[in-house]
Amino acid sequence: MRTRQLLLRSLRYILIGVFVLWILVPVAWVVTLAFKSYAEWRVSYFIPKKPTLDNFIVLFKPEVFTGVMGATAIVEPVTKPLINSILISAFSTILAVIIGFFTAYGASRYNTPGPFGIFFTLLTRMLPPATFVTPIMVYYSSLNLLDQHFGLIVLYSSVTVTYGIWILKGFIDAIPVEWEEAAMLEGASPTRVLFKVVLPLARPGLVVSALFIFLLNWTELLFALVLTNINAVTLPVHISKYVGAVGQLYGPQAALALVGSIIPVVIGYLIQKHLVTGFTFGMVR
Amino acid sequence: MKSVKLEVEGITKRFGDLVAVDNVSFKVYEGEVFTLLGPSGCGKTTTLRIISGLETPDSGRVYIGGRDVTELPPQERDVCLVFQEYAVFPHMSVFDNIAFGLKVRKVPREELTAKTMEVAEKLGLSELLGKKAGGLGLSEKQRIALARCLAVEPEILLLDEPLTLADAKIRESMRRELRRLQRELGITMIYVTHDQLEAIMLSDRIAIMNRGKLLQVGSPREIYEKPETLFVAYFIGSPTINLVEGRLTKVGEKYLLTRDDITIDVSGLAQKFAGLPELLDREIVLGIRPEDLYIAGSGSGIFEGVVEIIETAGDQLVAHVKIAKETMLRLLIPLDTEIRVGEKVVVSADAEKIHVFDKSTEKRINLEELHQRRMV
Amino acid sequence: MAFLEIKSVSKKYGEKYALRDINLSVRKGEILAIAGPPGAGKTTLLKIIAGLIPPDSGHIYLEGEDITDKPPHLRGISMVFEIPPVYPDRTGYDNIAFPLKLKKLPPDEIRRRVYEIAELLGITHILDRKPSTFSGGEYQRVALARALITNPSVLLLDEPLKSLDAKIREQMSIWLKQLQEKIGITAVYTSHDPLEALTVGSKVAILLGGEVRQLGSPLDILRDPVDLDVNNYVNIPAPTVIEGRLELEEDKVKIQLDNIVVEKKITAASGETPIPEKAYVSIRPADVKVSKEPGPGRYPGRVEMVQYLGARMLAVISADNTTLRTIVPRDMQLNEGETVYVSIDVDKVKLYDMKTRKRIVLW
Repeated sequence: MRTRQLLLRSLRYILIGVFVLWILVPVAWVVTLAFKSYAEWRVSYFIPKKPTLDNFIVLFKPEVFTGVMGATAIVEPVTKPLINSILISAFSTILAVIIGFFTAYGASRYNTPGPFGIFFTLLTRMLPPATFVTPIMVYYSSLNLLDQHFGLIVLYSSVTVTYGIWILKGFIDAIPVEWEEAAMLEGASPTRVLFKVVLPLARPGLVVSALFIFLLNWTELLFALVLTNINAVTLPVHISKYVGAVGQLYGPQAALALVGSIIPVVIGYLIQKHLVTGFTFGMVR
Repeated sequence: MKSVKLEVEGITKRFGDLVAVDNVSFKVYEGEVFTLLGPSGCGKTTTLRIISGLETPDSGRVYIGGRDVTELPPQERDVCLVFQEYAVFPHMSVFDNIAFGLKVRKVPREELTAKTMEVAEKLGLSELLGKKAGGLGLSEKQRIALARCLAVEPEILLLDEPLTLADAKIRESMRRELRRLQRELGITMIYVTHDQLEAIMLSDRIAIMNRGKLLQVGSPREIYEKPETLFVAYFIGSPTINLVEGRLTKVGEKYLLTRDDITIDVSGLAQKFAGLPELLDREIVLGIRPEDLYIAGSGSGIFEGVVEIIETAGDQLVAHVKIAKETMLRLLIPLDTEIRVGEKVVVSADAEKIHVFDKSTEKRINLEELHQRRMV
Repeated sequence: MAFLEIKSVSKKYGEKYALRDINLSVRKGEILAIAGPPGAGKTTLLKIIAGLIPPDSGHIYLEGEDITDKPPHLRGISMVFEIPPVYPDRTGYDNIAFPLKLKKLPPDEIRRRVYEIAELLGITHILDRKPSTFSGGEYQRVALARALITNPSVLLLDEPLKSLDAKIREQMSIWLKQLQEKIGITAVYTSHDPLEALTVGSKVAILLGGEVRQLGSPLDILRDPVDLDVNNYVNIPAPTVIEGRLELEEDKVKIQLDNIVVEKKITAASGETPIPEKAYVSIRPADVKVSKEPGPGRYPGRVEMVQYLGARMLAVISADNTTLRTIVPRDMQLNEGETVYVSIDVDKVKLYDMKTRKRIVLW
């Protein structure tokens, strides 16, 4: 009896340990890689022998290290892609959440655009994105949207709005309709009810969907790669540009991955409180 | 003498600063319906959860059938809990719902089927066995939840306010059915409710709790007719008992009840107080049940007053009679009594049935005992 | 003159009538209680009055004005819901002030009115607290304060006490009625519990299956239910309803319930009503007298069950084939299996038509 319990307990901890390693090792690898010098990129040990900040410096001053790392082309400094990524991700997130909120409200309360209509928005996400990369590229080229911030914003928000609708619909469904009706009887017009009652109550949902959509936008590579060139290059695209004669420049790529993850991590930390309320919203009463 | 099925010994449970259950002890005998009664947050549900093993007490022991089960997990205690929301799985058939506990216990197939059919038969669910449980009505769901528990033949059946979701009419018939079943099966039942009438109707014995403390244990009649504390008197009975407080004094032959500037002549109850000087000059509370008061012919009453409000209470009327400043008595009188608001009435009472409490301790003053002690 | 009037309002969901031809009127300062079992259409009716649901046909008049097509936020009607919207992240004060903030009143006035209403409802102590610390009764009072602070012309209360404990419900129903009388507001109240509705309402409507079966004072409804369904619904404890044979003998009506026969003299005037051969006979438990001694008009019976109820006891007594539910005083000594003698107070017996289930008035 006792031994069996002990055995079960140790088995549980072993499983947890394996799972934690599974998740943390790649992250740790990226972190250490960012501080390794060119010579250590392909070695099999964790801790760099000679930690260096070269990989970070090269992100901002690529010309200094041309040749040293075997780079064949001069890569632009990271500043511009970083700003691009922030702008594009932020604007498309805001757009998707706003449109998503109103659509979700309509779907939840008035059943528009009908069950199939709502399902249809998901359908668009069921196709592999690769299937419509080419058509979109052709459209964009004829619309003169290639390599434009606006082009990516429109594309990103129209793709991610689906998630916004589905996440927010769940949250709005959970708000009892009596709350709106009460406010209406207390003298609020339907529009004011929407802004004064539904919007604040759905705030956790807005936060959750915004974070989720932001992360999707922030990491999107395929479309950005095809639709941008110089002007509107985003971080993921920029990472792929660190290629030298000997292949991928792992060091700067890892350093950029670290730099690029700072923003989502900070945002995530700031909205942590809302995330928790967000996930326990069903408890409201 | 019936054997003790459950013994709870000095259990205490704290949630942060809140003492949810405060040193509670009681015994439950085999085959009885024992009800934990009290307002929301009195600790009755926590007590039930401690018995079931879903909560562990901070101190105290729980014995089931003489075995100390305090440290045991719920599944090893041989109890079954019927929840308020009836944990009936809507996606399963009635059969699978009832058989669920048996399946978990890995009962062989044939025995499982036989047992399930037997329980279903007893609860009148035989016809419904093949149906999905989700589409059924409230009273069927309650029976399924009960059947699920009965199928595993627990030592004790625990029920956590199983009737609160039903409306008044259905509740009445469900209550009857529950009582009939319990008698038929002779199972030991611990029932939790906030509804005093339900407790009175269902139970062999009632334990009243308030703020984590156990106040009184007794048969419905004992609790109703001999409440040990003010709270018990107040909580049991509807309409609520009349409580009139004040300092009892004797002026000449008159007994007066005084509080602030209000004086009520209670000489009509003289036989109650006579010969008990320890009652005098003491802050007391008189408790008079609304049904123990009646409207008397002129002259022979105990109180006089004016009818302020008349309301209905089922097949009776409740008359609120103002007998002094800020002092109102509720009388339960027959539905066809001719009475009007504003009317002057003489109110009489069955003096034998009046309760006296000490105001500061809120405890019952046992007059019979005092009288007896005098005699000795 | 009616202050609030509901004129032939009907509402269908699919093919099924939720409400059929509802006519009700409420005078100023009156509290109308609507009692009906779950699904009777009570909430739908309140929402139609509030303007949250449009009726299929019929009209709503407030002070003589047809408001059927007026949007809810312009009607000046407040509603308290079964699980009322109290914002969990705002204090009691902010919750109560919310409707006034919506109206953009000056802060001074909002403050004054919040304190005024909180005082009236006895909840000043919870103004600074968050709803999670409220008791059930306090929670309902905050909701009520929020509904009252806009000075609505009509207050709708949709089973506001349903989720409360039995004891608190009893107190709150009386408190509510007194409050309503004090502030003189016109109110419509619903409850699934006929006892609660009859306690709270100065006028009561019995809503069964989407129709108003009876409208009247609590006493009228309890003393004279118009049909068998109302009779069965409002009488708690449930009456004994059995088929009886009726016979007219000169100036007497004989009612035969198997072996029990009761007689009632009728006057010439009531004799004009044709007397059917059979009818449902409803006998309330309180109208059966139980005695230990035999006597004229008393029938022997066996005590089948005694149920202690606190104030009194319910005894089920079978006299041959007739099973009667009776109410006896709590100190009567009754044992199961014992023989007792029952007599029926014929004046209180109610007769209902076998087909239409309507009340037959013979006396």
